[in-house]
Amino acid sequence: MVRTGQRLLHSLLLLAGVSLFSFVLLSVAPGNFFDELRLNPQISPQTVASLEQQYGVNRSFPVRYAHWLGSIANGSLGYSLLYRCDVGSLILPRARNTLVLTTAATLFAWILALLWGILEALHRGKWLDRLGGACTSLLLAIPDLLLGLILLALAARVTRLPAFGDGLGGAFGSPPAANAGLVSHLFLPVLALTLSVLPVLVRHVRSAMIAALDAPFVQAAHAHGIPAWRVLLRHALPAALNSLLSLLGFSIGGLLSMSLLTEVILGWPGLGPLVLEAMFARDTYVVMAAVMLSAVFLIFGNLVADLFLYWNDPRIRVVSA
Amino acid sequence: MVTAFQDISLDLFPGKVLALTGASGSGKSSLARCILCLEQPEGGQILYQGRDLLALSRAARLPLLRDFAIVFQDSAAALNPAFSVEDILAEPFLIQQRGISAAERRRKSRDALAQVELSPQILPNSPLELSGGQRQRVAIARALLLHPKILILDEALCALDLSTQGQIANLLLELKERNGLSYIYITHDLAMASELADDIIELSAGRVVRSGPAATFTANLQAGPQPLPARSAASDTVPGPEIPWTSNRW
Amino acid sequence: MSRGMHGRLRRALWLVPLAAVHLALLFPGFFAPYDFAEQNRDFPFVAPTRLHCVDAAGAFHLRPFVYALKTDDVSSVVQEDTSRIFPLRFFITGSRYSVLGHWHARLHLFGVERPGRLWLFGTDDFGRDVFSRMLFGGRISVCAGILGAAIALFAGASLGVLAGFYGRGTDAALMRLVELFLALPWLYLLLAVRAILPLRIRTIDAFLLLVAVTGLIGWARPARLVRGMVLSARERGFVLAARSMCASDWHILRRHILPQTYATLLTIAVLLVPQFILAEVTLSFLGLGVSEPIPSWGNLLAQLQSYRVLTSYWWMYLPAATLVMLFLLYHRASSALEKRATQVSV
Repeated sequence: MVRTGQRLLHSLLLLAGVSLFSFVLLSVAPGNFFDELRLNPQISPQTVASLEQQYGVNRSFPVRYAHWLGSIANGSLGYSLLYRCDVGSLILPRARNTLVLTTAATLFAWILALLWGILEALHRGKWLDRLGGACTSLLLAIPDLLLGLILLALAARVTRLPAFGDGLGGAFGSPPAANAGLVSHLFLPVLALTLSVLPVLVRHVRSAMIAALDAPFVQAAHAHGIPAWRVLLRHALPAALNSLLSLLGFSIGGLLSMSLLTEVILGWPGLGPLVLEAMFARDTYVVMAAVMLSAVFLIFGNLVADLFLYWNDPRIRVVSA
Repeated sequence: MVTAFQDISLDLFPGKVLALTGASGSGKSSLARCILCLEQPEGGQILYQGRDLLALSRAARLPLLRDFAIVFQDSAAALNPAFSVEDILAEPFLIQQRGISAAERRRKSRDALAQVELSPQILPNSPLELSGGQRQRVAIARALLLHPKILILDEALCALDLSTQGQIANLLLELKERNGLSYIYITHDLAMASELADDIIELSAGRVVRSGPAATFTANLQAGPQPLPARSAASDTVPGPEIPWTSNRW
Repeated sequence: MSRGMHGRLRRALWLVPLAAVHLALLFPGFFAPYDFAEQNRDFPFVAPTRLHCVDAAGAFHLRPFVYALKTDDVSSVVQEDTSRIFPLRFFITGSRYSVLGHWHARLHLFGVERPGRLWLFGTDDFGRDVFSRMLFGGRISVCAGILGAAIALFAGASLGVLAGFYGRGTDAALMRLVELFLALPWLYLLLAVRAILPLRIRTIDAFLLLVAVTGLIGWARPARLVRGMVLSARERGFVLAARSMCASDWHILRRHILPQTYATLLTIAVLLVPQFILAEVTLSFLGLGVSEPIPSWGNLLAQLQSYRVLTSYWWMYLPAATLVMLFLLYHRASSALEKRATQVSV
C-alpha cells in the first residue's frame, strides 16, 4: 500500500514536470499563430498586434503557465486560436475517437497475439513456428506508415470500403453517426494498428510461454500424469500471463499515442491529425493539451506495469524494502 | 545506519602477523576497507606514521597508502576475467609507476610469479582458466608487486580447500620472512589464526572482546569465547579494555 | 571448435548483404544509372523498363537489351520503339556526380546508351528515375539514421556512465530527466521539437536539424541501459581491487568498466539505427524533414498519398520495399549480436 502511494505521488510529480517541460518547449518556438496573418499585406500590423494583445500571446511565461494551469482546473484546457473554441471541447471528442480505435486494436492484437504466441510455443522449432517467426519479422520491419498506405491501396482496389478520397486523410470533423457506418470506417484503421502492434506482442507471448513450459513445475505436472491440455491451461498459461501483465501496462500506456500516423494516413478523426494541424499552425494550447493527455496515459500505463511487477514478484518487494 | 565497529585500536609491528577474528558481521572486513580508505568511517582517526589518513587529501594520502596492499577472499571476483594474467600483473604499474618500461614490467611480473611458485606459462591465460589456489597466488603476486610494507589478507584463505589453504599459508609465511612484511590477517577461523598469527584481536559486534598473543588464545580455546561485557546505561564505552580508537602504531 | 566456427561464420554471413546495401547507399552516384534530379517530362509514371533477350525479329542476344520509349501521337500511350535495341552495358559513362562531396566522376556501374533508358523502378510524375532516387534518398535517410543514432548513443552513454559511476545526486538527477523524456510519446516529442524550429528551411540545414532533433530525443533509453550496466560493473570485485591500489576514477572507467559495456553498446546501436531511419522517414513524409527536390525515402513515400499513385502505379512502392528489406537485415544483425553477447558474457 505504501509503495502504491509512493508511486502515485511520483507519477503526479512526473506529470507536473512533463507539463512544465512541454510548456517551455512550446514557448521557445519562434513565432506564433499570428505569423501567417502578418504575411498577409491586407491586414495591418496594428490589427495583428491588437489580436496578439487580445489573446494574450505576448504575456510573460509564468503568467501564461499559471493561466494555463488554471484552465485545467475549470476544464477548458486553454483556447484554440485555429478553431476558436475551448481546447477541451475540441480535444475530448477527438481523444474519444482515438481511444475507440486504439482500444479495439489493442484488444484484437492481444487476443491474436495470445493465440498465435501459444501456438508457436507449443510447436516450437517446427515449421509452424518458423513460418510464424518469419511473418512476425516481416511485420516488424514494415513501418506503420507503410502498413497504412498498403491497406489503403488494397481497400481501394478490392472492396467498396470508404477509400477516403484524394490526398492526406479525408474525413476531418465529426465521426460517422450510424453504428454500421462506424464499423466500416473503423475496419481499416483497426486492421492497420493491430498489424503494427502484433509482432512485438507475439514475440513476448511466445517467449513467456516457452519459459513457462520449460519451468520445473510444469514438467512435474506432466510427470504426475496430468493431461497435457490441463497442464497448459491450469499451470503453464497462468504463469506466462503473470509475466505478461507488465507488458499490458505498457500497452495501456500507449493507447492515446500509438495511432498518430495511422489516423493521419487513413483519415480517422482522432487526436493525431488534430495535433499535426495544430503544430503546423502553432496553435500552442491544443498541442499542450494533447501532449499532456498522452503523457497521462503513458505515466499511468507505466505505473500499472510497475505495480503489477511489484505485486507479482516477491523478490522485488524484498529488494526495495 | 549500522555501526560496524567502534573503539578499536590495533598495534602492528614490523614482521609480525596480527589476526583479526570474529564471527561474520563483527566488522572485520569493514575495518580493513577503512584502513585503505575504500570507505569513510563516521569519525575517529587512522594514524599511520603519525599522520591521520582520514584528515589528509587524496593526493597526500597516496604515498602513505602505497605501503598497503590487500588480498580479497574471492579471487575470481578480484581479478578481471576479461584480462590475461599478464594484464592483471601489469596493472599496479600502470596505476602507480607510469614511467616503467614494458620490458621492466614483464621482468617484475615474472619475478612476482616465481615468488608465489607459479610458472610464467600461465601469463596469457584468463583467471577463469586457473584453479582457486592459482588465482589466489596471482592475487598475492599482484599485491606484492609494488613492495608494500603491510599486506591485509581479508579472509584470503577461506574460499580454498583445506590442503590448498595449508600451501598458501606456508607461502605467506615464507614471503613474510623474505620481504619483511607485516600482515593483518582477517579470518573467522580461529584455529588458522592461532597457527599463523603472532597476536590476535577478537571482535564481536564491532567491539574488541579479547586481545593478546596467539599462545594465550590457544590456551583459552577450550574455555570458549568470554561473555560480552555488560553495557552501562550511562556511557557508551565498554568497561574492561578501555581502548580509544587510535592507530596502527608503527 | 569447428562447429562453433561454422555457427559464427553462418551468423556473420548476414552482415554481407547489410554491408553491401550500405556500400551502395554510400556511393549512389556510381550505382545509380541516372542523377536524381534528371527529369523526363515526356514520360511521367512509366512502368519499369523491361529487359529483353529476344528482339522483334526473333533473334536471341546474349546481352540483355532495352527498347527506347516513344509516345504514340494519337493515343498518348507510351510504347516501346522496337526499331532499335540498346544493350545493357557495365561501367558506362553517364551523368556527372560527386563522390563523398569532393571528387567528381562519370562512371556508372550499369546503364544503356542514350536515347535508351533503363528505368529499373520506373519513373515518377516528373519522369525521374525512381531507382536512382531511391539510392540517393537512401543515402540521406540512412545517414540521418546512423548519425542521429550515434548522437543519441554517445550523449546517452556518456550521461549514463556519469550517473552510474558517481551515483547518488548525479544519478538521481539523471534518472528524473530520463523519466521525463520517456513519459512523452516519442512521435509527439519528435514533432514538437521539430515544430519549435522554423518550419521551412534549406535542405542542408534540414538534414542537420533532423539529425540533431532525433539525437536529442533518443538519448534517454540508452542512458538508462548504460547506467544500469555501469552500476553493476562498479560493484564488482576487480573494481574494488583496483581502488585498493589507489587507481584514479578515469583509470577504473577506462580499463575495467567501459570495456564491459562495449558489446551491449553495439547491440543498442544496431537496434537504434532503424528507429532513427524511421524517424527521418516519418518527418520527411509529413513534410517536416528533407523536402523536394532532394530525395529521401520519406518524401518518396509521400508521393503515395495521392489516390492515383496509390492504386495505379505499383512501382512507386519499390523504395518502400527497399526500406523494409534494410530493416529486416538490421533486425537479423541485432538478433545475431544478442546471441553472441549472451554467449560471451562473463
